[in-house]
Parts: sequence; structure tokens; C-alpha cells
Amino acid sequence: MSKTTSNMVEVSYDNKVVKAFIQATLLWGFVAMLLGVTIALQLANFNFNFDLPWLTFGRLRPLHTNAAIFAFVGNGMFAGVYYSLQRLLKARLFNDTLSWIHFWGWQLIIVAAAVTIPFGFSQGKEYAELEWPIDIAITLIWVVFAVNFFGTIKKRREKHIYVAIWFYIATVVTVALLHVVNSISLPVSFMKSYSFFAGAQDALIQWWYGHNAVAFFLTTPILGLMYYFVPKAANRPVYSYRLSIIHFWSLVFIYIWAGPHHLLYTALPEWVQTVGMAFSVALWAPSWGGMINGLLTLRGRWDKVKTDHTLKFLATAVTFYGMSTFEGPLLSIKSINAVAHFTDWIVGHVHAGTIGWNYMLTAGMLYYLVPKLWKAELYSPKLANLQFWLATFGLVLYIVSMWVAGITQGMMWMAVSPESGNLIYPHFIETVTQIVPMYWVRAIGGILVLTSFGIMIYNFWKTIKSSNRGSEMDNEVAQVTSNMDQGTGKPKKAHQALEGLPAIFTILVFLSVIVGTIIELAPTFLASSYIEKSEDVTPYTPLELLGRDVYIKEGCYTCHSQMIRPMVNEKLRYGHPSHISESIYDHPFQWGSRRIGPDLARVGGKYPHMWHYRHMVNPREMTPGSIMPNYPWLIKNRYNLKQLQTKMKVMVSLGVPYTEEEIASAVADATSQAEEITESLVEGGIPAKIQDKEVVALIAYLQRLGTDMQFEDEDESDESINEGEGE
Amino acid sequence: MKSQVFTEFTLTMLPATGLFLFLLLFIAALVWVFRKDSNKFYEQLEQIPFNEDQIRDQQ
Repeated sequence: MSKTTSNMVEVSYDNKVVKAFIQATLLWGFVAMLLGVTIALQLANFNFNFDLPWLTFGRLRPLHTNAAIFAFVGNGMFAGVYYSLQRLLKARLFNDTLSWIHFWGWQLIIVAAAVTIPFGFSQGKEYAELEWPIDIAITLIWVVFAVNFFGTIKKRREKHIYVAIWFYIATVVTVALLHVVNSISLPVSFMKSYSFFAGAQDALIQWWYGHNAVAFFLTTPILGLMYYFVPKAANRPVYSYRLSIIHFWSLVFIYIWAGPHHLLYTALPEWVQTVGMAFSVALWAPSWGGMINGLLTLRGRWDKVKTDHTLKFLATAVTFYGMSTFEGPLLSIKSINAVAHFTDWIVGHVHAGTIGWNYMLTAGMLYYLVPKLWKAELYSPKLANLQFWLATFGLVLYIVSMWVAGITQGMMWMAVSPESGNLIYPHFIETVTQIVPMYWVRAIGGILVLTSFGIMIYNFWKTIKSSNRGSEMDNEVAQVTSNMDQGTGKPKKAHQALEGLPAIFTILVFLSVIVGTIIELAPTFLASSYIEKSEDVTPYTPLELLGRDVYIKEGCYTCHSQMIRPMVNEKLRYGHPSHISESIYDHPFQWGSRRIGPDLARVGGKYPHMWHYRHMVNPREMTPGSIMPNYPWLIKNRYNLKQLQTKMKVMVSLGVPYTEEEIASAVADATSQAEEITESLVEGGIPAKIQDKEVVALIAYLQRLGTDMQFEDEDESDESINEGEGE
Repeated sequence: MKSQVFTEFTLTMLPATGLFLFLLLFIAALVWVFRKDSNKFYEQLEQIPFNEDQIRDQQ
């Protein structure tokens, strides 16, 4: 592909795979946003769930988040990384075959996700729902990417590694670590597994992963792209290279510690929460260092931002990066988190990042790349302008409506009458109907963002169509000066040492992320001596275990938490705060992150079986105004008894103390518990054939929640308050 | 025994030492990155994204 003439080398850059990733970005971006609009409408009006299992919110929401993060941003990131990497290193990608395995492998994984998640195959952990065979595929494709990436660095002709590549290295290394650790699970069957970790351990690992998926998938690679494309588009070097070094190392070191801010006021040890909060606040400095560096690169070029579409999107992206990285640490402060957590404020914050930062930066990058790679002039600058304003306006609607909804609901939950000491809004549903108008505003905002994306696709489609020279650019030939060799094409001895630097660099990055990881995670790994076990807490019965799997399959955790925080209002509303040992057998934990419906940690015994049955068939019958979907299929589908014993055996391997007798009699025990529940349903006029249906198992599970431990301070007043609650 | 250590040991010296060490490392990095005689080096580095274009102009 290349030949050496003195120190001038001819390089043929692989544009073809970059173009493929760009097309995939456009396709999956649209799909992800369409899913987003769908679930936004479902919250505004439950009828948009269409009573179809694969179209319900609980199943589509995980698909939306996975599509947005891994399909849209992922493909965009790979396009940008492969384009800039070759040019910054003056070398073609390491291996064409690996590039294409990477491309098609990644698309296959996305298709596998799109096929499995709507049909209820889920591990029940946010942004990590994909079942174990797909997790293995992700690992393999990531290794392919890593080999291709480091292989390109190895054969580079530029001895210095530009700062953008540092951010890419941090991504490659850390995402691998996060994905592998968080995905450890034991399979029950081909498409079912249980998380290796349980309860508090699982929560900590999940949010160490979840937060750093934001950090190392949605942030660091995109910052790398910022450090390449902003200077290129502005045609001037980065404002301060020195600042970028400080930005990089402090960001990489600090980010990994911040995960526990997703678990403030939970049953997690206090010191872990405090460390999470402190490091989140510390993140302000490096994040803003990077933002200032990006924006100041545009100094003297602000006039161009008005007319140049690339710069317009890039400048807006960096601005939103600044905004969301200001809001993030703010939300991590415990007193603010007390209001914001479990509300739509968090949802608004997340979208300020994903739309404001990721979408805008990707769009800016694409406006730079598409005309270049297809050798064509942009079809319509006017459409690009329209896209920009639609996206910006839609995003503002989105963020503002979620601020209003989140703060309103959070304050309503917390409101306690100073005279009576009772909740001012004891009915959870009151706090839902209050914010439904905001769900409509959010849906409109989402539709505008989706439309803007559609306009960009049309604009690029017309641009590409007008080019008949596109394929000429598949292998772009450039002459570059190699500073790695001297005539022979072989590196000098001194440079051989420099070539070793990326390896040392990678090790340093790994060390930076591993310090926080070990300090935060290690104590909980000593769980047997750290989390006190309560004798009252026993494993789920066989039927409850099956019911729990239904709960996970339907994605109930996307709307219901199982974690009562130690606050007066939560105790009044839900009962005694959750105890760390209560979820010790929960593989995976189901603490949740959002309360679209009420917390379920102590829902057991609160309502009769019949209430749950009718609530599943039509939630509005029991709670007028409820926005929960109907679950008619739960009374038609049978629970799976065939796998029951295998499931219990897997649980035993994970440390759940089922005895051999319990496993041997599992089917009989499950059937007998189902009969008991069915009896009370039959009294209410439900036919007895319901006994082997999923709804019965789910009722068994729900009725168990929070009933293990009895707390001394529980009194009758709790019950009188809880009676009024609903949804 | 182990659980007692974890629950009763306050370990205040440990985070304080950690903070001190990492602060020291940060200041050292800051001084090293902003040392005066490195101007030329960083100017060279920030030009890397533009090198390729200049060379193609000569083509």
C-alpha cells in the first residue's frame, strides 16, 4: 500500500470503511431517535404501547438507550476514530480485513440487540441488558478494534502521538475493562443468565460501569474527535496543547471514581457515596478545562461559526458539553441529588449530553467528512441550517420540560405537612398526572430532534447522489513525511524506544483507571465480612424466582425502583428504608434509577393478589390516571417450569443457599404456591386456569418484596398512610 | 475479625495520605507540562493534524 522514497512516503488511507461507518451512523441514529420518540409518546399516553409486548415501554426503553449509545454514537465514533487515526499517524489502518470484521461484527451485534431486547431477553442491568452470547460477541469485536487500532499505532510514521489518540486509547482500554467485569454472569440457557454479582455489589459494579460508559464511550472518544475536528474545521491548532495534557490525565483519573453518585442515599456504605460525590464535584475542573480548550480554539473564527455548518455544530456541541458537565457534578451533590434522583431531571441531563454533545458533535464531524469523502459539494446549506435550528430548539424543549417535570415531581414527593407530619401528596399518581403535560412537550422536542436528523440524512443522501466520483476516494493516496525512519523505512534505534511509548502510555492509562476501581470496589468484594447477612433474609421461593424473571423480562426496573432512601418522606410513603442485606440474593440487583411509578421495595403484602391481577390487566382500573401499559399477555403466557431447577442450580453456584431438597421439590413447590395465589383470584371470579400463567408468578414475586425483615420502628401509622397510595 | 476492621477502623490517615500524594503528583505534572523550555515541543505537537495537508499541497 505504501512505498518509501527518501523520507517521503506514499500512503493510501482507507476511506471505504470510514464511509461505511458513516452510513451506519445515519441509519442507527435515526432508529435510536425514532425509538426515543416512541417511548416519549408512550409516557405521554399509554395507548402508544398498543398492548403489544414487544412495543411496551419496559422493553423499548432499553433498546433506545442501547441504540443511542452503542449503535449511533458507537458507529459515529468508529468513523471519526478511523478517519483521524490514519491521518494523525500517517498510516493506513493496520489490516483491512480486521476493519471489515469490526464493521460487520458491530452491525450484527446491533441487529442482535434489536431482535432480542424487544422480545424480553434481558440481563436487567441498565445499558448492559444484552444477554451473554451478545456480550461475548461485543468483547470479541472490541478486541478486533483494539488490534486494528494498536496495530495502526505500531506502523505509524509520526513518532508523536497526538492528544486525540490518547483519548482513543483511554476508550479502547477502559471500555474493555468495564464491559468484561460488568457482564460477568452465569448462563442458565442460550439466552438467559444471572449476574455474577448480587445486591449492593452488583449495584456498585453496574454504576461503576454505567457511569463510565458515559465517561469512556460518550465522552473520551468524542473529546478525542473534538481535539481533531475542531482544529481542522477552524484551521488553527488547539488553543493550548498543555491544557489538553492536564485535561486528559485528570479526566481519566477522576472519572472512574464518580460511579457511586448514582447510588446516593441508597443502602450502599456511606463512605463510598461520599467518595463518589467528591470525585464528581472534582470533575468540574477537567471537564471545563476541556470545554474551554475547545471553545478557545475557535477564537478569531467566531464569524465563521455563523456560516460554516461544521463549526456551527461543533461549537454548539462543546457548549452543551460545558453545560452538561456543569449539571452533572451539581446533581451529584447529595442535597440536590435528594430532589433530583429518580426524577426526570436526570433524564433531561442525560439528553443534554447525548443530543447536545454527542449528536451535535457527530453532525459537525459528518458535515466535515461527507463532502470530503464523497468529493461532492453539500446539497443544501439551507437544509443544514434548518437541521441545526430544529435540533437546538427541540433539545431546549426537551431539557426545559424535563427540568420542570423533574423538579416538580421531586418536590411533590418530598412535601410533608409541618402540622400533621403527613405527606401532602400521599397518592403517587398525583405526582404523575401533574407532569404528563411536560411529557407531551418532551415528545414534541424529541420529534423536532428526530426530524432534524431526518433532514441531515436527506441532505447527505442528495450530496452523495450528486457525486459520481465517490469510489475514487475509497483509497485516498497522500504523500507524507515520515519522521519514524531515515531512508530505509526502518525505525532508528532511538525511535524504537519512542515506539515503545504508546505501550507505556497505555499501561499508565490502565493504572489511572484501576486505582479508583480497586479502592471503590475491593471492599465490597469482601462482602461476606462487609455486608452483614440477616437471618431473616431467605432466598426467593421457586415461583417467586420465576416471577422475578418476568419482572426483568418486562423491564419493570425502567419505571420502578426497589430502594427506599433514608428520608422522612420516603419512610412515610414506602416504609422503612431499604437495608443492604435485603437484596443480598438479588442476581441482578433491581434498585432501579427512575420512579415513573412508585418504589416497590416494600410492595409485598400491601395490596391483595386480586389488586395486582386487575392492575396488570388494566392499571387504570385500580389507579385512575395511571400511565402504566396494560399487560394482557401476562394472563395468557405460561411461566417456564422446565428451566426452574437449572435456574436454582445456577443460583446455588452464585452463592444463593438453596438446598438439594428445595431444588428437587421446586416444581411441586412452585405449583403449590401458584395454587394458593390462584385460589384467592378464583374467589374474585378469575378462572382457575390462570394458575400456570406469568401473572401468578409475578404476583408471587411482588408479594414477597420487602417482607423478609421486620423493623422495630414500624408502627400502624405507616399502614394508614400507605393505604392511600396507588398506581 | 475482618468485618470488625472494616466497620470500626476509621482509616482517616489513608484518604488523607492518598489526597496528599495525588495532589503532589498533580502539581508535579502541572509544573512539568508548563515548564518554559518546552514551548517548541508543544508547538510541534499541536501542528500534527495539519502536517498531512501541507504535504499534500506540495504534491
